[in-house]
Amino acid sequence: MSAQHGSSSDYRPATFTRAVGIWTVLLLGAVAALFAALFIGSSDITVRDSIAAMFGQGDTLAATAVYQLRLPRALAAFGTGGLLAVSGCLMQVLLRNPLADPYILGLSGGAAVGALGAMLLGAGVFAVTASAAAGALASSLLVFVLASRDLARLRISTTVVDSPRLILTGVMLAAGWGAVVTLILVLAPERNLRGMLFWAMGDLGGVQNYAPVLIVLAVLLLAVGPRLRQFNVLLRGDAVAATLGVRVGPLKSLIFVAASISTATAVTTAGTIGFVGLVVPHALRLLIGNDQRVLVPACAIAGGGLLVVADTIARTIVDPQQLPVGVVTAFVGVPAFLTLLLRGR
Amino acid sequence: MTDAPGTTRIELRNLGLRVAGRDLIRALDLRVDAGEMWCVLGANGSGKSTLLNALAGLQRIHRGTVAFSGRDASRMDPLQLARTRGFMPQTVSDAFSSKVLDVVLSARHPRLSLWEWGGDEDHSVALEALAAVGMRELIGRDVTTLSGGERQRVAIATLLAQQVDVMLLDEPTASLDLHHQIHVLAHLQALARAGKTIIYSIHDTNLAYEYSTHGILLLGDGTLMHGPIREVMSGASLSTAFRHPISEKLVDGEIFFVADRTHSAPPP
Repeated sequence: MSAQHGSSSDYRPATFTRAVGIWTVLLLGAVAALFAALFIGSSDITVRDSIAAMFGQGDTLAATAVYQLRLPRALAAFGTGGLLAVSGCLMQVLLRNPLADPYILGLSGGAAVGALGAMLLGAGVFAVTASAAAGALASSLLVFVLASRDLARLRISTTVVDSPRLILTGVMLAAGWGAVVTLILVLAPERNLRGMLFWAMGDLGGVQNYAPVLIVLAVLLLAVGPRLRQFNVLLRGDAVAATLGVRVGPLKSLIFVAASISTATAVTTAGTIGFVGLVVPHALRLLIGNDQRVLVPACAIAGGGLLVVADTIARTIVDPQQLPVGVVTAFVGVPAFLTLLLRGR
Repeated sequence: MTDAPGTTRIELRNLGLRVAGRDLIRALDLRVDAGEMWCVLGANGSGKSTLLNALAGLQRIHRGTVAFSGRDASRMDPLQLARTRGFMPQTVSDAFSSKVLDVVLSARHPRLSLWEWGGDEDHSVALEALAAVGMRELIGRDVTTLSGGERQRVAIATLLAQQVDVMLLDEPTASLDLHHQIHVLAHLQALARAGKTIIYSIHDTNLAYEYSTHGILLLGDGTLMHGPIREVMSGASLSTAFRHPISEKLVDGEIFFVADRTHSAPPP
């Protein structure tokens, strides 16, 4: 697992066998995190009760907590984390920018305006969810239309250097959405503020259905899976990729659409959880190298596992209160990432 | 890859290139054969990069056709083209850390099927390419930590690993010191002599004259001169192309081109 180390003349490129090894290790960690999430909880149910309940013994209260509260929530956390980490990785490839995260092109702002706007109007959970999804997709569509010259038709562009127009378009839209969000928060009655704040920080407490995130995650991996070697080539720049036989325009459009749908699903499920999409791809790059064929599946597993851990912490650490999971990902993610970045330099 | 010298590799028929409504090249007919090393010369903005980009398929062609070994490039599949010709842009900026070997291996992409990861053959092709530019020891180095000269050599190794007959290079010697410029050009010359076709742009007229077999001199008004290097390059033709008096000087029996220094002194 150390592409980083070793003298520079005996470096071996990533092989499929090594990739499977890395994925297996990460998967074991993620499964362990999922089990821990089932056993650990805020209520008076002990870990022993939870384990007994899992195997069909013990009281019904424990069984209800494990199977009807914790399991759906943990699975939703896994799917959401996986989607965010993969989307972050895709955006970094698309924009060839290490600072990119799933929200960089303004998608989260659109979702927030949708969700908070619905809350302001006193809508119920379903309407808030639908409105968030509509906002996210509207925002993506706007970026796609405004910057289509830099996405779909890039192959005939005369410039060899990357155009900053796509990222600037996204960042400008994000700023616009941010102003609308602030406006909504200012106008909102005080009793609504707490719910809005939790939504904006990212929270898995109200998750009803874990199926969408898991299905979209599976579809996402199937869609990008055969194209990961093209991602490696694309990272070397549009001109190089085009002359190496990659259809740059269609590939970039696919990355944008895949990342947008994934992020929209994650945000609709759990609000705007920060840091996972930025930190997980970078941390994995430092650990296992920057071959997208290894990295993208690894992001799905590690991102999912990390969010399961973060959510378990969020619902237990200040028991009986619950924290928004976005706070925990920031508290865990920022120091962990800085340690990785600065070690041995 | 081992065609006899004289095999036609590139054929331009009635090629016209236009950027922002300005004709850079009007109706160019040209044949480039195996074993030839063509330099593209011209003033800034005269269309050197545009021509190379057009040959690489990165630039919309206004008129005419580009054909590789008799096949119209516009009808070839991108992967098929990528196995025919390679392109080295002037600069490649690396946004992310990546190992030298991984960068060179990326050039194997057009030779692998959808799910293939690349095996021992690709690995040894990449190592050979790196050894050819003297970078074999640095395969595990992070490309973002390399010097300008080392980066350029990695870029050339990447082009070599692509194993193409036609190599297009946009100013391969820009940003290199004199020693590395000569090293790179000598290397390209050796490749051409081994049967590759090289087309590259360059600003240094004397290096171009020494290393190229043929030349294209863009005159900046849509017209150009092309042919064997000794017919194309002269004090008179360069003076026209660069709009600056350039004279030929004979030093130890070799021709050198010298730009007049009094002509364009800065205004007092």
